[in-house]
Amino acid sequence: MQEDFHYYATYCAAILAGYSHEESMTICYSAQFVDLCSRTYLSSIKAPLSAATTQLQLEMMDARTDVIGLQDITRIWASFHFLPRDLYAKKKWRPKVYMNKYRLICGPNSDLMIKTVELAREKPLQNVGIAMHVLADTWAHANFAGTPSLVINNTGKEFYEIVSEDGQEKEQRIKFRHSASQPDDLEKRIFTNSLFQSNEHSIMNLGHGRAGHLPDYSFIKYRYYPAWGEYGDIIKDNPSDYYKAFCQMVYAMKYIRGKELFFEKDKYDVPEVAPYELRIKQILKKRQTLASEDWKTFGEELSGQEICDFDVNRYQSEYTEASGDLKEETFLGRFISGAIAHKAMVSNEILSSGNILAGFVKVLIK
Amino acid sequence: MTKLQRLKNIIYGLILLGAGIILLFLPEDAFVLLLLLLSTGLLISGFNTLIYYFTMARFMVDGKMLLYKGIIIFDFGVLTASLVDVPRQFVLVYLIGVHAFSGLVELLRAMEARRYGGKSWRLKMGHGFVNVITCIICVIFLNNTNTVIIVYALGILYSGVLTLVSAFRRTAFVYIQ
Amino acid sequence: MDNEIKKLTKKYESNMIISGRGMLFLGLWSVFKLVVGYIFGADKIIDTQLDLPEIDEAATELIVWLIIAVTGLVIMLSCLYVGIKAIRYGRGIKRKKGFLVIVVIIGVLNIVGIPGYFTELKISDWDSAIASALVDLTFASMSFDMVYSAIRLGMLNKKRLKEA
Repeated sequence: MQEDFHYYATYCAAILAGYSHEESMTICYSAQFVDLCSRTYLSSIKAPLSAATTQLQLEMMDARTDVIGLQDITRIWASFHFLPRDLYAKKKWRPKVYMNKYRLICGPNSDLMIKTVELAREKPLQNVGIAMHVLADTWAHANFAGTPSLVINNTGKEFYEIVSEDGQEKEQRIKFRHSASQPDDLEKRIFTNSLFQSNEHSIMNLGHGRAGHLPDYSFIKYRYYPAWGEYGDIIKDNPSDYYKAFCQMVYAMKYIRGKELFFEKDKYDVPEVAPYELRIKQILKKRQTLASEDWKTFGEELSGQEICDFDVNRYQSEYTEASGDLKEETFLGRFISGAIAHKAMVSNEILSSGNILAGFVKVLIK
Repeated sequence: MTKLQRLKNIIYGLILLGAGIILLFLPEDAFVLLLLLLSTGLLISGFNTLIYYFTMARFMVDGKMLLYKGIIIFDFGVLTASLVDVPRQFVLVYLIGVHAFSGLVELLRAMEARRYGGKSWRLKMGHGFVNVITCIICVIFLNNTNTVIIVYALGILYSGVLTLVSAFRRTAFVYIQ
Repeated sequence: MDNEIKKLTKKYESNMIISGRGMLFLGLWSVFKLVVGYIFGADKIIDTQLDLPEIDEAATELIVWLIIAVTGLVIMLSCLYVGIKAIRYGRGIKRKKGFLVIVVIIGVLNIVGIPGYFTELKISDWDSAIASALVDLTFASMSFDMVYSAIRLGMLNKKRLKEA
């Protein structure tokens, strides 16, 4: 997902869950910050590098793809952007080396998602933001894995957009190109994706690169063949999935606030969202690459307050000027603690399932 | 290009430069060395591809292509290794053929890069073109072994230099986050 | 259409396309090996393999070259024909199964030829024999895979029409 959902939509969900404007700003800032908290940034503010929640393109270019390097990449991406759906999935006649990767396929309503939300309870709001980012991405990035793998993250060449015309659904072929400089052409259905690389551990085979930005566009419904699908196709209905993600965020935040007793899988029945269903679906279905303006307008109507634009440096000086132990009490300090705790939890769960792709966890913070 | 890919390209470029220089000054020994290098590389690559197919890629959609690729590369390696005891002229013809093939592949890659809007297609096109021209010149002067050796060696040196140049180039990295 | 039928249809269509492409590449590779093998082993072939009467060398060499050329041409053309037909079959362009006869012949010939690599074998030639046997085995399995996929596609098509 992109800034429109992680920042503005998360703000809207937080307001509907009952948080105040200031609390919602903290939550949505943290949710969006997950996409920017790289080692480069942490290094610039002299923060622990183990708190990295993403990797920049330049960092990916320098990333090692030996065992240690792959574990490092998997720890970050599987923890924050491609939370595994089923760490104990079974498939007949598959060797362990294949199943280790298969079990990292992302999807919503997983046991790990429950643990993620529970981990955020009674913790600072930054933890809530991190949990909401992870939750939202389980919907958008479903069916891809947060580890470099050709056999999991590759796709067939055929991608079709499913469009509604005169009440009927029709398929239109999607074309891909590999040009970094040209933006996606929504009208002609020409999108950019990553180049096919036959090396299993190539960085190009991390995540949803082969599907381009399609998983991050809320308006698109499309059909494709994932490499792991044994020739079965998948229909990815982003408008529907994004709406469920939104409703689930509201439900999750109500649970975290103590307004719900349990946080259960497959539960989206949130009365708070129903009055706004039509409005939200209009935003989601609008054919645009970024819906920030629409979400921002909606959010400001909900809260009656202005939502300031995201600024990655907003809390930087607070952190850099704080001394010693006081750093942990700053905004970024709390975010860093939350990120380390979440990463440790996910890595520990992956390791406990007998999968060494995320490596060994040194510290488990409870 | 990642750091590891750059390093691989630098090593490969240096090997090509070394091979070209040895070929110019010690042609008798160079042939065996070239064949051994080529066959070892191909055998390892073919074997790795086959292992990868049987452990992972056979469960992937369209994964069978890797099986066929692995078999051909492996067989290519064995064929190359079997030429060690063959007269020098024939080895030269074989190496020229392999060089021409790699030139053709480079040209095809250049055309694909151009079609997809990649920026490196000119360098690839030049490289492929020179490779093919080198081989044509070698074939024309086939009867004069010394001339052919010099031309072929210069071709390898050129490939080595271009490989090093591309290793240090900034590449547009289409990576979707 | 039932999901399972869709999946299987897609699988076998893809098999046909991949096998067709594989047939093209392996066919080209076989011809290349044939030519290279002859060029680098011409003396052996002429002296030890052929029991020809004492006619002049040039004529012998010409005859062998002709045999090689004809063999290569037959291999190349048959693989090309079968490969293209298989790809078109997989894409649903034409669904005539006539080409499968040649596919079966290719498969059987490859299987039958494998033991020939291991008769009168020198220790130094074991690696080439194994590699060649592997290639022929792959060729054969590709051929039978093609036939099986074509038959299954036909059956699935009938099932689909029945359900419709």
